[in-house]
Amino acid sequence: MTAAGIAAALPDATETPPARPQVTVLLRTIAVKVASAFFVLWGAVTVTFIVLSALPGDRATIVLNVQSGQTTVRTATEIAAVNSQYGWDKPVIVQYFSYVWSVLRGDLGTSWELRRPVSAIIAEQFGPTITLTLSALVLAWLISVPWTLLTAGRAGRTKTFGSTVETVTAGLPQYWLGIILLIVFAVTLGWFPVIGGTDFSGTVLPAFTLAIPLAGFIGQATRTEFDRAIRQPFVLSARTRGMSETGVRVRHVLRHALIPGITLSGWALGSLLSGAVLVESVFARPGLGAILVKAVSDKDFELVMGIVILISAVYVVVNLLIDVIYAIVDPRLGDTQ
Amino acid sequence: MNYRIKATVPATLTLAAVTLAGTALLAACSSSTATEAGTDKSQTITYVHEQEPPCLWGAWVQQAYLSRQVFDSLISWDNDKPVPWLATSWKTSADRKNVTFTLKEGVQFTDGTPLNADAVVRNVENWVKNLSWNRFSYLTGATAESANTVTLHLSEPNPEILRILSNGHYGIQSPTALDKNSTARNCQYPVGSGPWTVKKWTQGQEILFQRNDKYNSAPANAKHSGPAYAKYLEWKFAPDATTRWSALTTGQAQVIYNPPSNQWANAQKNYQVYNYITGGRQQVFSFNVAQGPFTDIKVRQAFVHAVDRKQIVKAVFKGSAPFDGNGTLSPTNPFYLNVNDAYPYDPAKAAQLLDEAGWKTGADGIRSKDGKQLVIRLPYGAGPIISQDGTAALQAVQQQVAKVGFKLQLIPLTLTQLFAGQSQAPDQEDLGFGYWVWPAPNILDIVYNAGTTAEPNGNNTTHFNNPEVQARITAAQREADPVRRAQRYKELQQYFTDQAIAIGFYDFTNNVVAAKGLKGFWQDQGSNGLPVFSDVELSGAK
Repeated sequence: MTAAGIAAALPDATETPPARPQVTVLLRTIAVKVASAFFVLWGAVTVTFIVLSALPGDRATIVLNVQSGQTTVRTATEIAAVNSQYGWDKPVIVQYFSYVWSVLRGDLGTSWELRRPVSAIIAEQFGPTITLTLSALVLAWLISVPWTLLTAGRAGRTKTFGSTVETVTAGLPQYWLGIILLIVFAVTLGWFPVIGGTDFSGTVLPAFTLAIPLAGFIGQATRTEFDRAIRQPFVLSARTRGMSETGVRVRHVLRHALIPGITLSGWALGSLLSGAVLVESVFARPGLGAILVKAVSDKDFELVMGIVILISAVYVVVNLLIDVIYAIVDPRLGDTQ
Repeated sequence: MNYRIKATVPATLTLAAVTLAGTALLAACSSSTATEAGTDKSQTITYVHEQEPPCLWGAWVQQAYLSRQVFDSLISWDNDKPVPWLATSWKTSADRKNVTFTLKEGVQFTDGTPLNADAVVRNVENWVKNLSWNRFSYLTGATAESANTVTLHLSEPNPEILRILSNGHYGIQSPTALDKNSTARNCQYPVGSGPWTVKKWTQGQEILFQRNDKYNSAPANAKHSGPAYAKYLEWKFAPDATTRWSALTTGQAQVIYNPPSNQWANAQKNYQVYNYITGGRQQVFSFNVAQGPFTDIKVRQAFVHAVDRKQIVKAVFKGSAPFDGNGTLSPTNPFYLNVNDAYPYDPAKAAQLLDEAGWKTGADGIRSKDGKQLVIRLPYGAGPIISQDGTAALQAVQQQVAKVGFKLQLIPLTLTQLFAGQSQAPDQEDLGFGYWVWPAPNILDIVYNAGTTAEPNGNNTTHFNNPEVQARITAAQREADPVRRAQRYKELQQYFTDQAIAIGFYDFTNNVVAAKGLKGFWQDQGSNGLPVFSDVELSGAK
């Protein structure tokens, strides 16, 4: 996936002929990107492992209590048996290296709680999560771009109104919003099922729940830039050339205003994944969010790290894509890379 | 370059329009005849449960809910007596430590393996190994006597063994599946002889059960024998109570678990409600009698007198969970003693007891003695153990005891802390709060047995340690005469109430709401009130 991202970035690199032979530059760029991607993944795994190990709470006691539905203090004999069964009696550093070694061989291990291979759990839950987060992201853009075009850089009231709506929506708690949407559109109007599953009709309300506050955030970011850009000389010059107001806004100003919003989208992906937990709970929807929270609280190392690796990989790819999008939106950025 | 942007924006707007149109279209056709799982609605029971366990069977009560659908047990419990299920008859030996069961003939697991004595022996091994609290049943193993008679061995006489075996945790699985299938497979798709088989488990969403068309082993207290009436059972998981309730009111589900308690009155009026009080002991206060202020009986009694328990339960739970003053045994268990009138709400009495105990009121309203304030630490498991309503009830307690000079600190534990057994050591917790589901009166042995110094009993949250009383508990359990046994157990409950070692607050209930007109739903009577769907007829449901 990383390589594909690089390939997409290439046309921009070719527009300005570099001093050195192209192939060398290309190989070096790929090598640097791949190496930094691996570094990010390794860092994520290591930090997660350290944090999980440092978190208070004895793993063997958790296993015993979770498997029996109890919350009691366990005896040394019981704890020793569990530790030896899972190999947790070995030093933490040994556990760390053996984990990293098995990941390098492509084995993400087995979740002690779900008793299934981590890769199988992720494969099953990734679809619903990515569908939800991506549709929320797209929806957020679909809501915020027209809103910015309509209200930003206008005279007093319209501008204030537009920005107030954004501030309010950005602050809406997802849990509350989800319940309201559920009650209005599923219970009162009956347009959608209350518990929807992962198909289209089940994804609409959860996606809106995540998208509305995010649209507020993206709107705020683009609006500031929009207001700045619309006062620039090039806008005045476009107007003097006789370009229509809409033309100016869409072709010239919006392009400048998009950059902060795009940057924010990379961050938003992480925020959507964490917001997904609450939304999954309200709409009874499967996904990685709920699984991750449960895995962290149960100190299910293998499952947590598997999900962390996946999310980190998604981040790496998304940030590569964002680099590419920057270059498309603002060719100057492409040139300097 | 300009071209790209030009093309993008109108495309974006078009896409938005398409999305909106799609939404409207969807609104028009939402009244479909298929369930989310793609099965025919007229043949599918949709039930919405709360928590999703990691495995279909095991030692957690959430697993018993599911195992009950797929496995049959040896016997079923019918209010006050055992009735035949996979076993047609049973006999206890003279020393009361062996129970011999004769098995129903012609029963097959859904993988074709026949049910016989060897299959039961294999399952007993499985329980002893995997049900971590099995030792409290005193069941140690089994021997096949003939092809279809099997003897279960106990380490102690246990007249309640039949009650325990009728409970969903002791369902019988196919020995072939246990031995040949992977752990993961047995977890998600175990094989039993019950009314349903697992067709598909979508983690985080639902389990779709399919009817076992060859089912011929319903318990004697079922409403009909033979296969289930409905073809599918769609078992959804929704952690949020409002979501579950909405699924019922919109008709998406016919049956739901625990509605929000503010809808309980509405549910009673417009739906069928089932309210099963679990066995064991209820949501009770366990006073730390080993360390801290509660080592003094007067302080314990003052605490209870300071709280209007009946009124709080009524106000918070609105009838969905009743008040129960017994801190030792549930009303569902045999030999339950009603002590609801002990320690009535009496703040004046509470203040007097604290005065007598030497706790003097300070300037800030908090009492103190020998320079130490009357601070009570109550770590509690918010979420899986104590519901939102339970937390509200504890906050009401906090306000009431403050009036007589207690400073009650409610310390919510994270799930990690809770399951890691933290804050339960005698020097970290002055007051415990929680329940224990168990079908037999030997719950006293589970919660009051001190264990040994090297291996203390983690279930003993009061840290009670009195060899003389422990001997009385053991004697009550071993007593052969039923009348004297009941007497001994009642005396013990009176003792723990009088001494204010554990005091009850509200009952732990399994509440189920079903659509009006839905016929045939019932709750298993073992100790958990597990829902039974094989007798449900969908035709009348509104």
